[in-house]
Amino acid sequence: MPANRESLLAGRNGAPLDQREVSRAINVFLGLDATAPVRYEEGARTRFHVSLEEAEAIVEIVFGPDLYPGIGIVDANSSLSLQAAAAHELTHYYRWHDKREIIQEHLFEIDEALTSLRPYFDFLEN
Amino acid sequence: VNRVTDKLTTRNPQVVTLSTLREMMKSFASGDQLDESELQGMARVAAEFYDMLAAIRPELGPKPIAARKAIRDKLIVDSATMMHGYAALMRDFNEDLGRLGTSRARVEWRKRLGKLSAETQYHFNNWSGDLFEKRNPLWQEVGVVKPGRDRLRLTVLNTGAARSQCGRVLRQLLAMDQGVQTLRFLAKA
Repeated sequence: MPANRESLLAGRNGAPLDQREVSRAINVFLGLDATAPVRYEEGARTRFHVSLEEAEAIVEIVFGPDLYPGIGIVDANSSLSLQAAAAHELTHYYRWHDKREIIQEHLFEIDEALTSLRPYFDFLEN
Repeated sequence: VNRVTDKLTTRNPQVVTLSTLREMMKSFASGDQLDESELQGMARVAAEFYDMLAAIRPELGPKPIAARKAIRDKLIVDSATMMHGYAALMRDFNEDLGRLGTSRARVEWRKRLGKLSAETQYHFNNWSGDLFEKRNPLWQEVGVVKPGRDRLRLTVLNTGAARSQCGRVLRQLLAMDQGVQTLRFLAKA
């Protein structure tokens, strides 16, 4: 189910986040969208996550240390900024919400590509 | 916010001055450089938190001059010193947004802030009433309020120590289980 897929690739930050870094990440998410459902989970891989609890859909972006860039300065996936990574995860949420996500497993890279392109229009253009 | 004179007198109905707001935000934010989206997020967190507080304590919202004067005479809820206490809570709320998740943190904090409501009655020695009453002996015990020269009127101190005591008292009180009524334990720094 794409809504539960980790989408940030290898090479991202792996060091644990301190409280200041967690708060900073939360504020970046809320700066992009005040209603963003976000939660930090120590050691988790960042993902947009939908689960069912007692017939109620729990929708949230769970983030971990990999929301922050890694040390690979020539690797675009590693150096993707905190803001860009947050915008990418928010776009997963919007695409799920609008039923625009592509759920076929063999097209997941297309879905990721579209999810990476959309923030340019939603966040960066303004 | 009084943005004109940067002073609050009996003729100003505003709640805070721009200087106090700036100091509050300085203690809420870290000293780091903030980029635009983070700054926007912090402003949203601060505004949301203040709205939650004002829903519990309407004295923190707009009031006519007469009502504002009456509030200042009786309570310390809208004092500049107490604003620093709120800034300390704001930091905790910001941390909980990450720890509990944004949805759960909001529910939890609405509940927690209920302890600051005027309807919640607290006790300290022979006194009982609203936490933020100037006459609440706790505030004299921790150095936030002191008797004026006439020994009758109570004055709110706006010192670094008084500001941090406001933060400590509010944080400790909100960390306690629901149903705490006596404030004696908060007198110990």
